[in-house]
Amino acid sequence: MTMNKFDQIIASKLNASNYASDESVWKNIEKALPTANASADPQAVPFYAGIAASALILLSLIALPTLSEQKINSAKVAQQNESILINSISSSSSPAQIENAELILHKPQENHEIKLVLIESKSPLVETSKKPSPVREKEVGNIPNLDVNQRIAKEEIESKGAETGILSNYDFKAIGIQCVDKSVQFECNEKLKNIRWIIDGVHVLEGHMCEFVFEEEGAHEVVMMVDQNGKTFSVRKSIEIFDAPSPIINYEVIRTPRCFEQSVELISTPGTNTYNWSYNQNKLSGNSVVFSMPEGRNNVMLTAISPEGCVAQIMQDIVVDGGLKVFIPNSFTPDNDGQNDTWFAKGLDKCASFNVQVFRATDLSLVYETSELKPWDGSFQGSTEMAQRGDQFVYTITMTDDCGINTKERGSLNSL
Amino acid sequence: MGIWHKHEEMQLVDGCIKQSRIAQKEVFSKLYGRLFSICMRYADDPDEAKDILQTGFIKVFKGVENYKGDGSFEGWIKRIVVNTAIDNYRRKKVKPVVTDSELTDRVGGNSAEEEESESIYNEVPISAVMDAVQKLSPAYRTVFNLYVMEGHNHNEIAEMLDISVGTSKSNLSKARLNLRKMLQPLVDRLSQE
Repeated sequence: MTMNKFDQIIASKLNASNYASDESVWKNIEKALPTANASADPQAVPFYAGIAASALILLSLIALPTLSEQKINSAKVAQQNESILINSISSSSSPAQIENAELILHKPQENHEIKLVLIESKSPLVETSKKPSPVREKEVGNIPNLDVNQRIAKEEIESKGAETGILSNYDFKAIGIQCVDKSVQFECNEKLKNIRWIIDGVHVLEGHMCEFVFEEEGAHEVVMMVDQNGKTFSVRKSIEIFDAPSPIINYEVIRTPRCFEQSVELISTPGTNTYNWSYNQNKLSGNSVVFSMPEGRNNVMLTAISPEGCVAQIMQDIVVDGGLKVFIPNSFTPDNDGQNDTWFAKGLDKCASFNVQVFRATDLSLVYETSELKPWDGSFQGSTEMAQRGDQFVYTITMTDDCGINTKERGSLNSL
Repeated sequence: MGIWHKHEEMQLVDGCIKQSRIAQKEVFSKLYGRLFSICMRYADDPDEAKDILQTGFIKVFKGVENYKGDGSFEGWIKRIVVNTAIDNYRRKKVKPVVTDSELTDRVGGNSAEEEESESIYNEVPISAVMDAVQKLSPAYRTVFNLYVMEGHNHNEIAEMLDISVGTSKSNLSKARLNLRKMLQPLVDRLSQE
């Protein structure tokens, strides 16, 4: 087969074209396929969205708008006896994150349809029903012109004898992921005027909404103070701030000397964090994953998500070596002087299969072709002609390594 | 580079054999772009390309037990999709392809001057090339794809499409000629810039 330059350009253009995945095609394919066998794969329980539910999962979500129904794109689950443990779900409005959920199925071997219903957008660390925040509502006297520490002290003293019951209007909520170095917003009823916020007793902010970045993990105190009708009302809440994960990347190159690409095992710190790895548009999840990488520097990105939803991202270059190398000389001297009289690529003997083609540069006619370990002596196949000094050639070498990876090398060759 | 590592590929094949939707979806999502691009080359328009790809994937998932692991899983799937495209062409083929025995394939390619001048085609956008390929007649387009893109020789193509070797060569030449004609206005414009 011969390809001229026009063909080569058109082929490279067509090979470079790419298209985004079309879900409608997948849906049609899915309809035509036999029913999935849930027991075949313990990590694969099919999820269908928006269909009659056989179970309802109530989720506590981090910083998502209020939604009624969600389309589930994918889910990670594990089956344990008669329980399905749901570790994470990617919904149509990702990034939804599940704290944890357990679904008891009466017949776990059958397929189940699950409807995901988001009850409310909540910041679980402040308003979770599991861990109610210590909230004290009280009326205190107007305490102008005191420094913050004095003000808190005054409030505590006065609050002892000034409990006035629940003042539901004077409440506030937190929005945002409560992680170190992430912005958290505090918001109260917008009809309230003259609002001051005192965070950790030292930081004072104003307005019905304020934003604060906590720099340390642990419990922090947030006090909202409202001046109204000459009196000051205060609401005190405790907020837990969680530390972001500090992932590290260790790696090991699993050398396969007869393959162009090497398997690289990437490992991060074991624990409760979720790890998402990204390399060259390939994505894998887990504490330890394996990517196939070519020789040289390869950049990987690791996203670590703590159980509380705190995210940290790091990038690292992975240096890969030790794979199959093929050295292709760009010149030879077919003059029978005993030196460089033949041309051949070194390392081809380590390939599972290969094909070498040499074309004359002037007319791209094929002058030599072999799939055997047979160096070219400069004679033209099917002709009595020989390569002369100054002749130029182009070569194409197609190689398949022991891992089944195909590689094509093209280049020029000079007869000196 | 292979799209999956060997271990990953084996797990996916196993999942597909067991009709795991997650495994099938992974295969679909990872290969859609490349395979749709192939189907576009064989089809008149994107809708026909989608039909070919859909049929191809269904064949893959229903017949995945036939994959013996000789080559890469991706390569096996690609062959099925190309065969599906050829089947689609055969079904559409109403009348025999007109042959021109005088036109033969240009063995050896072009002269050095022509090679040089053809570098301008590098500047042509991918979408324009795909558009031109789609505008070729199905007979020319199929031979062009099988020869240039899939690397088959004329004997193989003749057997696959049930045509003569001469017809295969003729269709390839006409495909090239028509592609050049269609891209010429663009090339002229690019040359002036």
